[in-house]
Amino acid sequence: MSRTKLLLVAAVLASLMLSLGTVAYTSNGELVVGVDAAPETMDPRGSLADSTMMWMGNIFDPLVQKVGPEGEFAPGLATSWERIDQLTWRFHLRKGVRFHNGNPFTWEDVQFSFERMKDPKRSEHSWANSVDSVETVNGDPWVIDITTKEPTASFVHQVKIGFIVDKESTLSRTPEEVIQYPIGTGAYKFVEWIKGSYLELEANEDYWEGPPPIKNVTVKPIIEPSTRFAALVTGEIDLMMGVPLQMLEAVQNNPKLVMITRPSRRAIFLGLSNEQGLPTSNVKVRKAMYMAINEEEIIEVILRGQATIVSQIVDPETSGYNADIERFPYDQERAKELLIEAGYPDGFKITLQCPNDRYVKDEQIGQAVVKYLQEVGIDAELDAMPKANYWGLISGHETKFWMLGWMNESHSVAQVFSDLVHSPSYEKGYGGWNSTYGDPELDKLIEESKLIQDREESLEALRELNRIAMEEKVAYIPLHLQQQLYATQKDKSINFIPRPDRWIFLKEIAIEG
Amino acid sequence: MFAYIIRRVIQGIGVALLVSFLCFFLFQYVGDPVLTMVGKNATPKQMEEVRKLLGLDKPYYIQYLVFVKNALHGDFGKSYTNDLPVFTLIIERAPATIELATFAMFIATVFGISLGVIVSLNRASVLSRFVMAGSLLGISLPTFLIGLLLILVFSVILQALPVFGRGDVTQIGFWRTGLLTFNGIKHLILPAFTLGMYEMALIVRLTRAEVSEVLEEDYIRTAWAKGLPSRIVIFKHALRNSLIPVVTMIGLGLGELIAFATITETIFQWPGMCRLFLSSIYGNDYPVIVAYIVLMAFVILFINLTVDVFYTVLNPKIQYD
Repeated sequence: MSRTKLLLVAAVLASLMLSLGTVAYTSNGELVVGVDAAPETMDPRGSLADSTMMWMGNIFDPLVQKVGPEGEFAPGLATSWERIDQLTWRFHLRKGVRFHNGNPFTWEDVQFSFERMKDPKRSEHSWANSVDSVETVNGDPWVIDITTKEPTASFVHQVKIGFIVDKESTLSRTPEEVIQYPIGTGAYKFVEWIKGSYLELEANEDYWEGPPPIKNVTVKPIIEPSTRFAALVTGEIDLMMGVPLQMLEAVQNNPKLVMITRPSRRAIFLGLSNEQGLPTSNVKVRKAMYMAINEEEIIEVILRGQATIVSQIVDPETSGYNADIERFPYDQERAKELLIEAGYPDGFKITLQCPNDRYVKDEQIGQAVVKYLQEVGIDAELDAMPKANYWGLISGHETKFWMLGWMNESHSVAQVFSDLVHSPSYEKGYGGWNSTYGDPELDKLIEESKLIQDREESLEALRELNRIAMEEKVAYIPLHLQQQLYATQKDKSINFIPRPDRWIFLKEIAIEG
Repeated sequence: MFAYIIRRVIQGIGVALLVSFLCFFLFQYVGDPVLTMVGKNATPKQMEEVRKLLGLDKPYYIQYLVFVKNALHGDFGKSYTNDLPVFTLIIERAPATIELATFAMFIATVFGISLGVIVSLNRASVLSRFVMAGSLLGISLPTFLIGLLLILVFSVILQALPVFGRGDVTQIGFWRTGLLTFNGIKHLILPAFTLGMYEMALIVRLTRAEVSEVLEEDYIRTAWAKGLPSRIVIFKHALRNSLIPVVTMIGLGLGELIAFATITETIFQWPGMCRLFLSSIYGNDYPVIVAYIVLMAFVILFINLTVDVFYTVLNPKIQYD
């Protein structure tokens, strides 16, 4: 009896302490990156999500890339480029580049890649539909003209995500193979992808920019923030993307870790309908709501200081960003006066709709906004829901008071305002993500801005358009830019400088140890 | 017996048809997959085009009939997220979940039954009280809390076990196994304990109740009176007769662990099919959701059927006609 008992107790203890030795995870010339979202596909046209695109950017090259902490233009598979006229962009292609399978890079790969991005069912790159043709110039296979259907000043910005695939191997392999085993020209070669588990890459020693410094990289998605943090503390990952706000202090206080931050390009803002008859169609009411919200307190308390207050819905990288636009100050007394002037001394009923699983602390921000509005006498309430349900309210033009976050790849106010400010128009393809706001004057300015050919003049027009929308019309109530938060192992001496687009561009990272 | 199995399989097909119908019925209310598929700069026209291509413009019952027709041809469709065949996506990730759930159930069974027997033999001892209190904790603590506590203690503080993932795996045919390497087993321990904790606690309590009851029976008293060694009385006479309800619970539990290891897989970033299921729900990836639910209906049916058959082995008095 007692012997059986003892044995069992021993078995329990033994199994609990199965291994006593410390687990060693050190590695040299290798980098393990822990990311907050798993890549969805290995097909560069398959997803626009950062979590997928950034790895595509390591395996594939675009014609024109953006490099460094400021996101400057740099030659990619094109050595130089110029805008010939309203519709035509000329690219001089790089000679002597080979795909990872040895195939030479040619202009036909460019033509094929752009064509391939147009398939609406398989591709999220709907911007590629603006491309009319890709042709060589005077029969020279190293000079091509890409023509767009309409004048698109931001085209060269979008080219950054137009990754060039190998025509031959894309056609000769089955679609399933193409999606799972990418072949690019990029700085890193694909090794293995176990979905939901890891992505393994190795340095492309023949890369046209020269071999990248880090030789082997493993990307491990860890969705649960606590686990991701634990994996960093135990050294199972070297670089962590997406430090959760509640673990900020734990990271800062840990002597073995280094925290790295920078503002992201994603702005968070509130949309307000101006449909006839609604109180919010009155600019004074819109302004009152703007001034009632204590954004600095939201950043300080809810976001623990990790956000940048903004006065417009685009970031400084966007052409048309206007540094002269100022926020309306937080002033609840003035807000109450404005409501009286507008004829709503007793406020009105309004419901703010927002997602609860999309932006950093989205629901808590919504709760705070509702509370501030109540303080000035507006009978506000919150309706927070999963993003899967939420998106339909915006694209279906149903919600009258909504929260949105936007990061533009176009780098242009013209494109952002076409999607977000221009009144929704199914036929013209405007206002797809604008729920229920519309102003004829702004519509006109947006459409006109696209036709201006002179670069300086166009920039000036966009800045002015931006100012009118933000200051005179209060088209949106801007809140903040989200912060990018990373942490690394101190003793690994990883030289990592975050990029504006949130991508982890491995060739830009070095290990100094 | 054979007729019984056939009848159960037919019932199973009925259940699969019903749950998949429910899926399609509910999909109307969970958000639009097209929005996440086309990219944010797509025009409403392009969205419409994709909706038509996927057949999502049709009423839900038509979509359902199309699904049934294709499923009968063995085609469960392609994932909206990455355009890969749904069936391959699920099968690829099944081994991770099956290994995790089986190992969890193994731990739960071994520890559950052993502790249950010990406790029922000496109900007043300190150890028994400790185990019973522990089993209450195991039943009432939420899985994610158990998981995080285990990570904190065994990975962060003791640095003895890895935090997440499957570690080194070996590929045998389509099956990727973590059971053949020491590193793989080490990765399995924490998630398996987390997943198995609840079942273990249930088994302890059930075994204790059943064994205690059987120990009061006349034939046990007779066995003791004959002077049989305690080993034989307990294991051969008492335990065997207490096991039928326990086997039922293990069977049902295994099905649940395979189908609903979602939380454990999330905490430990276990690359199993429950995580795939969860991310498909977030991404409105309808084909994956339906296929997963239908597949799980069959897994649970299969396990229940096995348990039924196993009864007849444990107790020949039970018969199906």
